[in-house]
Amino acid sequence: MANRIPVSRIEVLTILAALGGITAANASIYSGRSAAIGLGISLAWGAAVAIVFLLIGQLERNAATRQRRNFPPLLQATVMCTALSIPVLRSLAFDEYERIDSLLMESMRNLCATSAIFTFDSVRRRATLFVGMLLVLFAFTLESSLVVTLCLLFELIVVTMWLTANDQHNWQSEKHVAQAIPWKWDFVSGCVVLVAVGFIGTTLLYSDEQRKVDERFDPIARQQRSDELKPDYSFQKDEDEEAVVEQATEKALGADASKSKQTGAGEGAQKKEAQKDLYRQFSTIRSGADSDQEFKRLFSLATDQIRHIPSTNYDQFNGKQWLADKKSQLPAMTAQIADNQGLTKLLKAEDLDYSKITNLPDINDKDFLEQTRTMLMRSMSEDGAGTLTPELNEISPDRLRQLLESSPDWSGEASLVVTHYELQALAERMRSDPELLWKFLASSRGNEYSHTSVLRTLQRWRERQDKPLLPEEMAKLLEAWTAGRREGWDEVMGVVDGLRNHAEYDPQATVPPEETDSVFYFLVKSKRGPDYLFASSAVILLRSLGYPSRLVGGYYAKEEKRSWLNGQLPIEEDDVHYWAQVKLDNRVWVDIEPTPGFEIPSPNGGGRPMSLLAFWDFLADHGIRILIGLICVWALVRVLQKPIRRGWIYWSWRLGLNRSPRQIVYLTQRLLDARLQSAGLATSKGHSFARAILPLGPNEACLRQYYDLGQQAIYHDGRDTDEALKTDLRAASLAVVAWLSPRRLKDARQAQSTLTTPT
Amino acid sequence: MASSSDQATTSMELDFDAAGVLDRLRSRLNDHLRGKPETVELVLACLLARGNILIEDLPGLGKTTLAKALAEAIGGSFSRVQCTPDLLPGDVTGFNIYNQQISQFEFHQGPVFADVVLADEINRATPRTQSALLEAMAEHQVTIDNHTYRLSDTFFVIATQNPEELHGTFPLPEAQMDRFSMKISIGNPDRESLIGLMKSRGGVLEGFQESSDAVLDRAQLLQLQQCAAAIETGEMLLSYMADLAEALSSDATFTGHVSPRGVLQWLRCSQAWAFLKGRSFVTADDVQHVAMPVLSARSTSNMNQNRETITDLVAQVAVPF
Repeated sequence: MANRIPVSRIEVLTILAALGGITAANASIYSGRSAAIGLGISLAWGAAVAIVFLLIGQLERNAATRQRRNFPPLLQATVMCTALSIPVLRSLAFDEYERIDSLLMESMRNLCATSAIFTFDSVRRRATLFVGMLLVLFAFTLESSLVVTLCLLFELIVVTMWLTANDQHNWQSEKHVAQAIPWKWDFVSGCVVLVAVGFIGTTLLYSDEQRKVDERFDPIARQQRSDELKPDYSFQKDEDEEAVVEQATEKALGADASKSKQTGAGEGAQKKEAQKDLYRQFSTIRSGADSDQEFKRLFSLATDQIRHIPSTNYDQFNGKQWLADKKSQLPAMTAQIADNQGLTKLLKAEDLDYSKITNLPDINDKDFLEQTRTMLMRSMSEDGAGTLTPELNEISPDRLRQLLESSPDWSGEASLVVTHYELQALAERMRSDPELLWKFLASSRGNEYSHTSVLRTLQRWRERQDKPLLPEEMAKLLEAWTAGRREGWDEVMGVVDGLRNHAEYDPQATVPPEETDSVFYFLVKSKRGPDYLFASSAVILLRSLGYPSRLVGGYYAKEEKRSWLNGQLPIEEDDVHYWAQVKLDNRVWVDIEPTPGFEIPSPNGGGRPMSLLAFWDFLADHGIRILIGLICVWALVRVLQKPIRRGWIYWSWRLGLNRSPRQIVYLTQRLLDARLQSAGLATSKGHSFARAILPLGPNEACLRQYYDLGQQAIYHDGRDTDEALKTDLRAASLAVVAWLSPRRLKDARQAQSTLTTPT
Repeated sequence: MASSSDQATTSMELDFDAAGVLDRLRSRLNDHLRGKPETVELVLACLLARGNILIEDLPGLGKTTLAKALAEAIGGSFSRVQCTPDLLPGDVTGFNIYNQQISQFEFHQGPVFADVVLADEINRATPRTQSALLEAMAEHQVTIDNHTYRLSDTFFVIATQNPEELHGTFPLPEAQMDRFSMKISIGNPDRESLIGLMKSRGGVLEGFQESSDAVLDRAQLLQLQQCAAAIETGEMLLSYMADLAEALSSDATFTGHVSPRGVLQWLRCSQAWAFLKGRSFVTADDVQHVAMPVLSARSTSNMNQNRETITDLVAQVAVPF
């Protein structure tokens, strides 16, 4: 049977083209898996397409003419649209978040395959080839695997053959007509050779690495690759620079080298090494990331309940709270809070310089520890050592460091409760009252609780102060913001609200280098600044009130970046943000957002205006139900529409029989038209009564009478108020409607169809 | 078909039996043009509407026969103009000639001074001659050397043209087509009519047929035309015709132009049709009946295409009843 209707060569070509497209698409879609799996799946697709195509071709053939009839375009379109929309529906209905390009690729693959099924339609043939070609090119730009490249090559050849193929000739009869109407082999082979030469030429000319399109053409992949190469230091650059230096030295020493080629090879090498070392000393410039590059996408966020994503690692809290991106100036700015310089210098024995000892200790000085030790020694020698414990006497920088490092969170916790203003104040107090310093240090004994005791000492000391240790202007601000607030969360929010209203958010604002106290400058002088200044200020102010608080760096999810398609919110490098956390109840760290323009979302989103996201969520959850509901309503309307309309027309006629003759004729006419229509007797509005209804019963007295009366009512002006005519017409109308029953109309229709069928 | 009361009101104003006269006229014409009662009816309607008719058909289908029979039947004079490219306007309208005996110009009447004029193959005449004839048709007068002559009151032109042989012809411009009320085609007779025709002419040589009496005189024809023009046209009918005219002018498939004069002639033809049917008022059916020939005369495309377009258009406009 199958060979009764030969498959034309153009159809075979089309299916091959579709196979190429499907293979390319699958190579891209299943790029995570091995090429064999992708090829296998593609082959299965191709086989399925071919089988369905043959089956449909057999089903749809016309036995009389031995030619295939085309499926109605509506059916084709429905099948293709369904296939096209499956991936999109899946992603919408099943919460499967996928990349838009892979969705698109899948949709196009489905379209290509279904289009190929209907290849016996000449329009569909062209569509298939077009979609297949598009798919391969699309896949080629995204994915440059060998399979896709081969698909592209194959597709090009198919297109070439297509251009010369004769649409009318069957594949199997090719032998007979080969002589008569051959392929234009010269053209085909010419194009194929051209494509092959281009392909081979590209292969030979470019190295493997250069041909790797995913690095050459994909900016993200390229950037990732370069990121891998230079995490912090540009080794590559160093190497390059070394090479340059090497060349330069070689040039400079060229004469020497050639001279001492035999005799002093080692000497030259030594000299070169020395030059290189010299250069290395000066080449300390390390290249950072380019500032112009596109921001790398880090991860995606699906929820809208969290906007602050911290990246600060507190477990390894080591004095330096957090190292921000090299681009930002953050570490310099926040060192004052995070570092709490004086205290953390204690940890770093290598910073100590024993030769520099001064009289008065300055807590902000980097030689603070040494000063302290000297002072301690002096005080011990002057006041007698009796009050000192022996352990303290023996304390060495290494020992101190050990002590403090034995509890890693010591410095962290200390820095969380103390501001540099307090340390300054403390230092000043210590300067005037060395006993305090002594007591302070003496509390840090070599037991494991020493850090808590130091902290407690600090806190107690601070509590004894009658007001926060802050510069005067800042203290005033703080007083104004916390006035009337209850201690606890209320007071914290007082500070936060005060900050949000006090200064202006300006991400570009900087602190001039001559300003040593950035927070003071920000709060009192400029009143504008980036987010980390807001956060630093919040931390300083809250700490001065006694609330443990810390600066947090991380990312802020900007709601406007959320993708409308999959509801995900991409977080990019650009979204770096700083905020603060305050420790409540000595247990829980709670985010606070002191920067205006940034919000902490309320816990359950109640009362929030319905955002686009909520709309999509809603659609994803209830879309199917809504669709079904709409379909039901539509079906109901379609089912009920006719009866309702028919009833309305009937009753308006029935109740309108008392109106003027023209109205009676109009209503009767409408009723009769509706009946004719429902009986399937086609009429158009241009057909008069004589043409539409009178032929149904040419000798029927009631029809004739109604016809005469109706004509008089309509075409005679001035008969509209004629009571006699009205009465007659009412009777005639009733008679006509009674005679023209739906049943009679049905019979008339049957009679009509039996009349027309034999002819 | 018509009720007796309507018939009575129509004939009451006349001093002769209108229905009988019309029946005789009808049967006379049907005798001459076999198997085409519809065409005869249309020609009669056109006559009663005081319009002129253009018959577009192949040669030998009875155009001339019909025209001659009509002229004989209405008792008027009949003249025939065979249009050729060398026909001059003077040949149609008449001319002044100097009479040497009385030393004066004498006017010689042309064929248009007859009651029924048959302009055969009108599209073979030059545009100049065509327009001379058409002036006569439109205004029922001719002007020669500054002197205007009135034509007959019952002046009626039957023009014919051949749609097939267009070589060497001057197609009538749209403006002149508008002067005709109707454009019809007769078409081939059916088999029985053909046999009947052959039987009836079996023993008679062409040209030797006895001439028959007139069925009615010119005064009666005038009276009939006035009666037809007095047929009632109600408000709803007029608005229906206005709808039709609007639909025609806004429709892109109708290649022609229906002027107010065209609509007026359409209305006259509809009145005449209603009169022929013995009705005292015009209905939408009458309008639809004459729509095809009237609109054909105002369209530039060929007959078959016209038929479809006009049928569709008429079917689209809602009828009052």
